[in-house]
Amino acid sequence: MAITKLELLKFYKSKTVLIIDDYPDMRGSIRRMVENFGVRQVDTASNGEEAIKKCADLAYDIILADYNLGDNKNGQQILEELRFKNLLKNTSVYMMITAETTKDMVFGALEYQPDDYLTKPFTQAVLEKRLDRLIVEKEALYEINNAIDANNLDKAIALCQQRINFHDKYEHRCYRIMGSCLFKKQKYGKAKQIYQHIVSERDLEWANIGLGKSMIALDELDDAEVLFGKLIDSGSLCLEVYDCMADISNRKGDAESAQKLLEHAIELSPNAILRQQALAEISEDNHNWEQAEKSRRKIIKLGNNSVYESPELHFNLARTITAEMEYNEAPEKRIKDVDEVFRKMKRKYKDENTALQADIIGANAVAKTGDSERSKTLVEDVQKRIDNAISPSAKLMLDMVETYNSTGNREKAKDLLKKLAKTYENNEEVSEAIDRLSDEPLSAKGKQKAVDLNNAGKQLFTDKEYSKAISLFSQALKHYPNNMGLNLNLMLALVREMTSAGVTSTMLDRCSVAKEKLSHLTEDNALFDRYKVLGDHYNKLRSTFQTQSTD
Amino acid sequence: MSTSDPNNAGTIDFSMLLASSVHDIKNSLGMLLTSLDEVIDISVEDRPEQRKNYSILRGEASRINNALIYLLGLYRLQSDQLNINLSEIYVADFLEEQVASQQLLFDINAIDVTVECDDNLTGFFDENLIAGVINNILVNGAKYTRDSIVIRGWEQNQTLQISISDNGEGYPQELLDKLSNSGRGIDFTSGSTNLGLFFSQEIAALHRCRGEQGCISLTNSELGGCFTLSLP
Repeated sequence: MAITKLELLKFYKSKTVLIIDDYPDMRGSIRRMVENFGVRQVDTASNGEEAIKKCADLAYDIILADYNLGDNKNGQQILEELRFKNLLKNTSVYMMITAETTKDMVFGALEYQPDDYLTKPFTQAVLEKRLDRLIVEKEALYEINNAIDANNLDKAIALCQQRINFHDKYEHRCYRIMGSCLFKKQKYGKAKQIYQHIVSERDLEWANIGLGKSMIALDELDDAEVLFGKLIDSGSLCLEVYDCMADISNRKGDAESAQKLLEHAIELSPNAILRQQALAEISEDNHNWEQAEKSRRKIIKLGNNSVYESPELHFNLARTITAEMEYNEAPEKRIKDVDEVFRKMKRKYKDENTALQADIIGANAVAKTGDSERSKTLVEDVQKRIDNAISPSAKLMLDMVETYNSTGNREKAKDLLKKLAKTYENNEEVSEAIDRLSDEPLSAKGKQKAVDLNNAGKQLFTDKEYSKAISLFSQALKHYPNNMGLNLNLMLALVREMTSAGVTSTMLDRCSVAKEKLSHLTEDNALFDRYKVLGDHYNKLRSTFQTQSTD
Repeated sequence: MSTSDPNNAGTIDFSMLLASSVHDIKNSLGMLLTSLDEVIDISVEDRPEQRKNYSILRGEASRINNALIYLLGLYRLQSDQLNINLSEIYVADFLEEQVASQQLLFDINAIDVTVECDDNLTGFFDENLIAGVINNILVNGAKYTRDSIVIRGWEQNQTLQISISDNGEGYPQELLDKLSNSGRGIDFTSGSTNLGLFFSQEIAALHRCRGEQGCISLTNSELGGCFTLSLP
C-alpha cells in the first residue's frame, strides 16, 4: 500500500495548487516550495475575493490558505464560501496555515473544517510531509469523496463500509464521513449508532457533536442537552455546539435561553451570517425587537459582496421594523426608517418586482401607524401593480397577505392564501410559509400535522402531562404562529399547568401572547366559546397572581 | 481576569502582556528560522567550515522557539486556557514530520535519524502540544547524541508509546532521580533548566482516557539515553 517517492512526484506533477496569502514574500516562499515538490501549475491570490474568483475558473486540487489575511475575509470564511458555492471538491485538499495553534480559532460548523492545519513557522520538509500524507489519504479515499461530490451518498456510505472492513488507519476517517452522509440522508438512527460506537471508545469532539445532532433529530432532547452541556463546559470552540444547544432550548419552548446562547456564540464570532439570521429570527419570536433589528442590520452588512446578498435581506429588516411598530407607542416615527431601508435597497436593485414588494411592505408599515386613509390608497395602488406584475414571487404575495391583514382586509387575505396554497401545493417551503400566516392549516402536510399534533396533545392531557403539552404546542406554534387550534390548546395546557403546579409570570405572559393571537375571533366562530372560557380562566389566574405578589 | 475593579484601572495586566509579546516574538522567530534555513541551504556548500557555526545558530534558534512555546503554554495552563484538542493522528507520519522539521539540524551535525513505526498505527492526542514535546527532545538529542537517534512508536495495552533514544552519554543521574522521585512533577524552581521536561510532563498529564493519565519517563542504557512518552 505504501506509495513510493516516484509515484508521489507523479501525483504532484498533475496537481493544480492555489496559494492564498496577503504577504507577497510568503506567497513566493510557499510557491517555491511546492514547485520543488514537482507541481507545475501554481496560482496565487492575495485575498478572498481573488481566491474565490480563481476557484470558480479552476477546480484546484490543493489550496493552501493563510488564516489571517488582514482586514479581508479570513481563510475560514473563504473555505465556507467555497463549500457553500460548491467550488471546492471533497477530493481536493484545503490546508489552513496559521500563526497560532488551532485552538485559538473559533470555527463554526464541523463540515466547514479544513482538511488540515499547518502552524507557522514550517520548513519545506514539513510542508512536504504534510502534503504527502494528505495526498495519499485523498487518493485512498478518492472513490468515497468522488461519490459525495456527485451527491451519491448511498454509494459513499457503502464504500465507507467496505473501507472500514479493511481496519486500516483510515477506519476513523471513514466512520466520520459515513456518519455525516447518513445524517444528510436523514438516517438519524443509524448515524447515532455510528457516533455512539466512536464515543464509547474515545471522547472525540466530532463524534460527540454528531451524536448530539442525531439525538436532536430523533427528538431525544434531554439526552442531547446533557451532551452539549458537557461540550460547552469543556470549553469547545466549535460554535456549532452553541447552535445546537440553542436549537434544543428553542424546541423545548424556551426561546429566551436560545437567544442568549446565540448571542454568546455571536460574541465569539460576530461574522457568521447564518447564525445572525438564526438570532434575528429567534429575537423576533421573543419580541426582542432591538436585538432583532440589530441582527438584521448586521446581516445586510455581512451580506455585502457575498453569496447571501439579496433584496430579501433588506425586506427582512423592513419587516422587523414593521412588526415592531405594533408595539411602539409612536409608530409613525419609524416610517422614515422603513423608507431609508428601501431607499438604500433601490439603489442596488432596480427591477419592478423588487420595487413593488417594497411598496407592499411599506403599505403595511403605514397601516401600522393608524393612517388608514393613506394605507388604503397604497393598497389600491399595489393591488393594481400586482395584477400587471410578471410572475410575482411567492414571497411578494405573502407580504401582500400581511398587508391585507393589517389593513382590515381579512377576507382578501384569506382568499389570497387559499389561492397560493393551491398554486404552491407541491412546494414545501412556500406551503409552510402559507400555513404560518394562516389561522388554519391550508396545505395537505399542514393539515395532517395539525391532526397529529391534536392527537398527541390529547394523549398528554389525558396523562396530565401538562408541561410536555406546553412544549409540544409551543414548538408547533413556531411553524404556525397564527393557528387558532394550536393557540387555544397552548392556552389550555398553560391554564391546567398553572392550576395544578402554581402560577408563574412567564407562563402568564405566554398565555397572554396566545390569547392576543386569538383576539380577532368573533362570536360566530366555532372556537369562540372555548376561547371565552379559557380567557376568563386566564384573567382569574392573573388577578390572583397579582394580589399574591403585592401582599 | 476581570479588570472592572476601579483600583486596577490603568495598570497593565502583566500576564496578558507576556502572552502577547511571546506571540510576537514567536512570529519573528518563525521568519528568522525560515530565512536561516535558506541561508544555510545556499552557503553551506561553498563554506563547509562554517558548518559548526550554522549548527549552533540553528539549534539555538529552535531552542528559543521551543522555550517560547512552553512559556505561552504554561501561561495558558495557569490561566486555564490550555485545552487539549484531541484528534486522531497517524503516528508514523507525525513522527516523520517532527524529524523533517529539524532535518537541517541533523544534517549539519551528521546525525542519522530513523523512525520505526507501523504505518497503520494511529493515536489520539493534541498534535501541536505533543509536537512541541517531541521537538524539544529531538533538539536536545541533536546536541548530546554521538551520531544517531532512533524514534519508535508502538501500542502497548491500548496506550500509545513513543520513545526517542540516542547513543550519547545518557541523561544525568540527577535528572533521572528528580523525575522518578517527584511523583507529581518536576520541581523546576531548583534553578536548573528543566523547563522542557516540566512542560512535557504537564502536557502528557493533560491527556486522559478511561481514568488513565499520560506520563513521561527517562532511562539510560549502555547505548545512551532514552525518553519515553506514554499516552492513554
